[in-house]
Formats: sequence, C-alpha cells, structure tokens
Amino acid sequence: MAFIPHKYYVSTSLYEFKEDRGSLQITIKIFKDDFINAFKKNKGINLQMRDDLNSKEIKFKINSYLLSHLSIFLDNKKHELFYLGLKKDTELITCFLEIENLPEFKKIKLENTILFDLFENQKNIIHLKKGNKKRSFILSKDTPNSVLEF
Amino acid sequence: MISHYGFSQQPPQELKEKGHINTNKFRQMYQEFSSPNMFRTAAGAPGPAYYQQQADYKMNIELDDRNKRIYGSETITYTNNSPDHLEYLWVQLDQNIRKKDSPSLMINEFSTRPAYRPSGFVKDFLDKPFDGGFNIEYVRDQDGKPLSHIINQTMMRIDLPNVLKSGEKVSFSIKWWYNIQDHVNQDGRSGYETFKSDGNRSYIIAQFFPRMAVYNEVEGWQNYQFWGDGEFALPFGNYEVKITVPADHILDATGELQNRKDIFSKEMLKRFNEAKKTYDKPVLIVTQSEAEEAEKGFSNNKKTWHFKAKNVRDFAFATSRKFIWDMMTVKIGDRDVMAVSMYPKEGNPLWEDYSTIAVAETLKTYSDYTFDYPYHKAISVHAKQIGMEYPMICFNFGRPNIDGSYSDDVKFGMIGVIIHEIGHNFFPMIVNNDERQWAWMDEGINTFVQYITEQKLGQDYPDIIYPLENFPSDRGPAKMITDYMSVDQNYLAPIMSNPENVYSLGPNAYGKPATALNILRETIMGKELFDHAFKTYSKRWMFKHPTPEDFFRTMEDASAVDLDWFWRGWFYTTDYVDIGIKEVNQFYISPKPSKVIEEMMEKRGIPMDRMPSLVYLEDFNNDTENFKEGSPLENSKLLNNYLKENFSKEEIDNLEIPKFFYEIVFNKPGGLVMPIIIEYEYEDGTKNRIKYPAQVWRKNDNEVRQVITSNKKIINISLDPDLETADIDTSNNSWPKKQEDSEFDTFKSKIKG
Repeated sequence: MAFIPHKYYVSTSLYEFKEDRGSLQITIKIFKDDFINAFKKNKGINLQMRDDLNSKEIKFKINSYLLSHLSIFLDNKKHELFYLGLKKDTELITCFLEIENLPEFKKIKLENTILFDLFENQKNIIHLKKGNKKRSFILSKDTPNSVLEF
Repeated sequence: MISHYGFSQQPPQELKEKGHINTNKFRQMYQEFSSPNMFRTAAGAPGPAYYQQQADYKMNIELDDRNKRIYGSETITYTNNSPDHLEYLWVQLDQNIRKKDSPSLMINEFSTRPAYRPSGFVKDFLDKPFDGGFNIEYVRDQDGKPLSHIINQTMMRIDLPNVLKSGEKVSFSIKWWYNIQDHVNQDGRSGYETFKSDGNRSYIIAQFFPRMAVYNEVEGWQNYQFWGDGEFALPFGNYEVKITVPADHILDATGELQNRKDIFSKEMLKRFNEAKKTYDKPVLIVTQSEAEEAEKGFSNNKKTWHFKAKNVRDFAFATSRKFIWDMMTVKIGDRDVMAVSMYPKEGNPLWEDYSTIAVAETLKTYSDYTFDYPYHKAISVHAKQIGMEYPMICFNFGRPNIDGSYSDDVKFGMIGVIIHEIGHNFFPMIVNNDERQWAWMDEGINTFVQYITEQKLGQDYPDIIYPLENFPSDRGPAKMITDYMSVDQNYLAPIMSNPENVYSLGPNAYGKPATALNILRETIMGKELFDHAFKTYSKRWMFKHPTPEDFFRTMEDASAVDLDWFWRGWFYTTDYVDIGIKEVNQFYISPKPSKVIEEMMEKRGIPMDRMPSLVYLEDFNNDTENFKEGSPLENSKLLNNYLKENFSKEEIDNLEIPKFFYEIVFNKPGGLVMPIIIEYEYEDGTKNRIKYPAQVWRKNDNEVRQVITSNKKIINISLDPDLETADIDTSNNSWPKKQEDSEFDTFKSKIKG
C-alpha cells in the first residue's frame, strides 16, 4: 500500500517557553494542501487563489480558524493566543502564534484540533520546550488535548 | 572498618555493582536472529532445503454492475513442496473483514463527542451496517463432493479427507459472491467509486476471491487474522481468470490477455500495435472523447476478458466504461515491457501527462537496482484516495480540481504514489515477504527505492519538476525523519513490530526504514558496496519468500561491512541519534610544564625540579605569555634536540610539526551509534572534513575524544554538516556554540520590520 492516502496526516507544533522574555512562542507546521482544504471546508475560502496570505482580510480569517482549534490553559486559566502570521513553503505552511506576559505556572493543558474536522487519522505532534526540558506527544481525534505538569 | 559489637550495629553498605550481560552496542545479533538452518543460510540466502508452496487458480468471475456485486467460482490446485504432511489447509477470506458481525469492526477505539454534524451522527449511530463479506455457496473436492471446512473470521480451514503428503497436489473448488463496498465513503483498498455527474462507477477489484495462505518453516501456516492494517502473505502460482463485465467496459488485470481479438475493436488493435513499438510517449488506446461517449452507453450486453498469469502471488483488475487507456513500451534489459495507464476523464490532464511516464521510469530505475522486471506489463489505474499494489496492476490517487487545475502537491503526490505502487511489483510481488508480520520489509525497502527513483525522475525530466531543482521527496533524506524519531517514547514502536500494534504506521514502517537504508547507502556503506549487496539480496530472493534475517545477513555478507550495530539500533529499538560536541580543549607546545602538571606535582608533594624533561602541552587558556604563537621547536628545546639527534636535517625539514592541538570531546545523549562526521574551518577560511567510523563508540557509548592537529588556528567545528545522521538536536553540533535565531524570531523580526 502507499497507504493512508497522501503522505501521512501529521502536523508538527513547537511550543517554546521563553522564560527570559516571559512569552510562549508557537510554531505550527502543516502540509500546505491539507491546510488549504481544511480552510476551504471550514470557511469556504480557497486560499490557493490568494497571493498574500498575510493580508489583513485573510489574516483575520486564518486567525479565527486557528483560534477555534487551539487553546491553552495555564493552571486552569485560559490564555489568549495572538496570531502573528504564516510562511509558505513548497510543501508546508508554518503558522506563528504567541502569548506574551506569561505568568509562572505549574500545569499546562493544551488543545490542538487542527485538521481533525477534515481527516479522521490526523495526528498533531506537539513538542513542548521549557528551559532544557522537552516533552513531546501526539494529539489525535480521540485525544485532542493533553495535560502536563512542568 | 566493620564493627563486630553486638547485633545492633549494621555493617557499612556494600557498594559493589551487580554483574550484567553483554550490552555492548556492537555485539553480534546471535540472540535476536533466528538460527541459520538448511532452509535459510547464515549468509542470508535460500538454503539447500529451502522450499515454497504453490497455489494455482482457475477462476470464472462476473461483475454485476447494477448491484455492485462480484460472483465467482474457482478451482485451486495446491502443491505441497514442504517436507511435511498437511492435514488441513488455510484459505484467506479478506472480504470478511467487512462482515456485519466482524470483530475487526470492534478492535479500534470508539468514543463519544460533545457535538456532531448530522451526517457524522448518522454515520456513527444510525447507519445500517454494510452487508459485506464472502457468501460461500460451496466448498467441494475434486470429485465435486462437499469438503469439511470451518470459517474463523477472515480465515477458513479446509479439513482434508486424506493427508496431503510431501510432494503431492490437491485440488478443490469454491463458489461465492460478495457485495463490493464504496471505497470512497467506506474503507478499503479496493471497491467502487460512483461518479454522480454521469451515474457511472469505476471498479478497482482486489482480494475478491478466497485465496491460499502461506505455509512455511518460519510460521507454519501464516493465519494471523486480517484486521486491516497488516497486509498480505501469499504463495506464488499460475492463474487463469475469465472476467465477465458489461460489454462497454474497459478492463485491465494481472496477466496476459488471451482473447484480445474478441475484445478489441479494429481501431483499438491498430493503436495497440502502434504502442508496442512506441518507446518515447504513451499511445492512446481509448481516447478521452471515446470514453466520454462510452459513459452514456450503459450496455446490457456482456463481454468476457480472459487472462493468464504465470508466477504471481495475487490477482486484481480494474474495470469501467469511463476509462481512458494509454500504453507505451519500455526497454528493460533486452525485453520489451508495456507501461499502461487507465483513468477516467476526472484524472486529466494530470494522468495523460504523467502516469505512464512515471510507470516507465519506475520500471527502469528499479530494474537497475534489483533485477530486470520479469513480467510483460505494469498498469497504473486512477482511483480516488487510494494507493494500493497488486501484481502488474496498482491503484493510485491524484485527481485535479474540476476545472483541470491542480497544485504541485497533487502533482508530486500522484507521481510519488505511482512510483511507489509500481515499485511494489518488485517488493513484495516478486521478492515476496510476509507482510502480515513485517510491514516494513516491503514498505520500507520500497519507499527507499521510491526515493531514488523520484530523484532520478527529477534529473531525467527537469521540466516536470521545474522550477524545483530536485523532486520534492517527503521520505528518504535523514533530516526528514528526525521529527518522528524525537516524539514521546510512548508513541514509538521499533520497526520490528507487527503492523497491527504500531501507533503511526506511516513513519514507522515506511519512513524510518527507508531513511535507515538511505543512511546505510550514503553514509555508512557507500553506494558501491550498498548497491551490490542490495542487488544480491533482490536476486537471491526473486520469486521466493525472504524473512528480515535474510535481508540483514545478505547486506553484511556481500559487503564485509559489519551492520549488527546498525540493524539493532535502527530496527529493533526506538533509540534516536543525538551526538554533540561537549567541549573543545585547545593546546600548544609549551616551554614549561602545564598548569595541570604543576597542580599534580604539588598534590603529590614532589618539587618541580624533580620533574623529568618532557614535551609539554598547555591549554590555550593558561597561556599568559602568548607562547602559542611561537614555533613548536623553539618552545620545546627537548623536542628540537631529540629530532636533531634522530633525524637528518632533510627529514626534519619535511616533518610537519603541529602548532595547535584540538582535543574534541564528543558526547552522545541519544542511544543510536553513528559515525562522527566533522567539518572544521581554519582561520583563513579553508575547510576540511573527517569521518570517524561508528566503531569509535565501541568502548565508550557515552563519550569519545579525538585530536586534530594543525598549523593554522581552527575557528569553527561542525558536527554532521550535511545532516546525514538523522541527529534530532543540532543545537549541540557546533563549536563554538551557534546562537542561531529560531525560525520564530526570524519571522517575527521580518513582519515587525
């Protein structure tokens, strides 16, 4: 078999806690075609036809798509994510989000359901980096969120 | 001191460590591998007692298009080439995975969600179960008498009235029917797709008949159930199949068409003969406008297509009145092989442009690395969201938008899957491993050759990949597997695991083994040694059934490169690669003893003037008088005199006496052993490389020291500069440590600026 149609449905996210800056930097890599299809299904807009994906109008729509699929709770308190923009490569789209003024926390709950509405088998690989501690795990439709103590 | 006063005093804790078994990463794999025997040698080749069974089939098949059903009857002739006597036979009933009461429907998890789209709710809770699975009408012996049998899910045991002795044959017949499922909306590697726009269906039919299981000296009967992820173990044999479909269908299948003159129109025959002598571009046997015309037909008449296939392990076919058909001849060795594509108009313009070209390139490249493709044709059939392989025919995705436009991703995805599935003809259709137990043996090996072929296609057809310089392969290069290998260990399984139990089968059975082979080829063994060993393996096991050990042993046996450490690390563990530069100590030749020696002498209470005359190396950091810029022979009179006493002036002039000594301490936070590849840069901008073989880790698995000497200052040392070792963390790969801006910071500063 070649499979599970089309590559493997995986996205990779890096959540990096920059303690010196008091911020959380989130970098999400998704296959470009998957993102375009998910977006088309969810918002009815075909991003393929747009040249500037960081224009105000598109940025607003992408922002709303991402924020409806991502959430972070620090010590049970939900935090607002700020969407910075995205970068387009041959195969991938990289989205950048940030939370500034990060408080001290012990427990983090992460939810990432990007592309779950499109693919049953979507797996979102999450890497969390805090100082020299690194934790990684995979979120899927059956386990869309994860709780960790740092 | 141990006290003996009374019982209340405890003796001091004994800190003696416990003993251990051999855990050295370079130990040979005597314990992991099966013992070599008369069936499979220690060299990795078939042994003098090697045997394999044979299963021949004569089948009559009818497709009921209206009811989406297959009716079939077959006679199976099974030859027992084993030294054993068999009391029963096992027959595989793959369609039973879709039986309404099938346990395979229950092995995956099922949970509730807080909210559903109505269609999702219906699918999860209201849908009537699909009435799938084989309906067996009879199982009869060669005299037509009923044969005792019992069905256990996807496996049927036939109880032979007489024991089948070694060397004997037995024949029996089965009649059955089953409902074909919609592979787009349901699951599966085969089935039908309904095109709402014209009301027609296209069928990709496989696993449609009860077929023999494998019996061998490794597993006995390979009768592990078909649960969905584990694929197939099948014996070789000869097939004769007659398939009856609507008269206006275009069909192709495994095997040689016997009655072409009855099936083909005069025009089609003319075009076919043209294709037989066309080597540079596909020739259309059925054009798009002819297919579009046929779509309106809905013929009530029938036609029977008659095929014969020799030495194949399976049989599949595709049929539809929507098919466009093109063919091109490819020279393989001194033979002509036909590259064929079948696709509905929905596949165009992509399919008419690239499918047959991709088929041809695959046949040529795989033949270069293994053996000349032995069959007479290879077919690529267009199917939505499928990528699946059968002997001589495969089903591949790649559909443009309705207006004919398509993205690069769709184009390269299609070419990649065609290469992959056509490549499967070599692994496992001809080098026929047990996929039910070891998915990686064909998937991983195939994905590796797929990568080589994709890159070759990019070089041979630069127009197809323009403006890219290389085909955008997504598996193969070492750096593409690091994401997967650095995932939380709870989600990782070794490659040597049964495919049913693996979390992420894609990277586990496809990406990681393909990458491992690529690393072996490019970094560990080198292309010449690797290619020869790989070809040896392919040729040894062509039309036979290899096990993993046969592959592992052959690669080593034919190259003299010890690979036990590599196979164990990459295939039997979930270890990853992380090698780093822990520290670099810089030394020069000093006129006086170093600080380290002074401290050591002081500790021992020995005055410095008792120190014998020696050549001293001192750390850069302790150079208070800038001796490091001086010449070594001026700094060390001792060395200077020694040389004068032992060498002629001419010899001394030709000696390269180093000025600087760099002691590099490498550490290995990751478990996998890999060669240490470094590139160092001198002050004047010139660079040099060294590669220490993996064996450098054999005595110390955690830390290794090496020394580089030179006359010029080294300002920069990089580990694995070409990213060949799948190192998951490159932040410890440089000296001095690189402070690189993260991708995030680079992006943020760009939008702010």
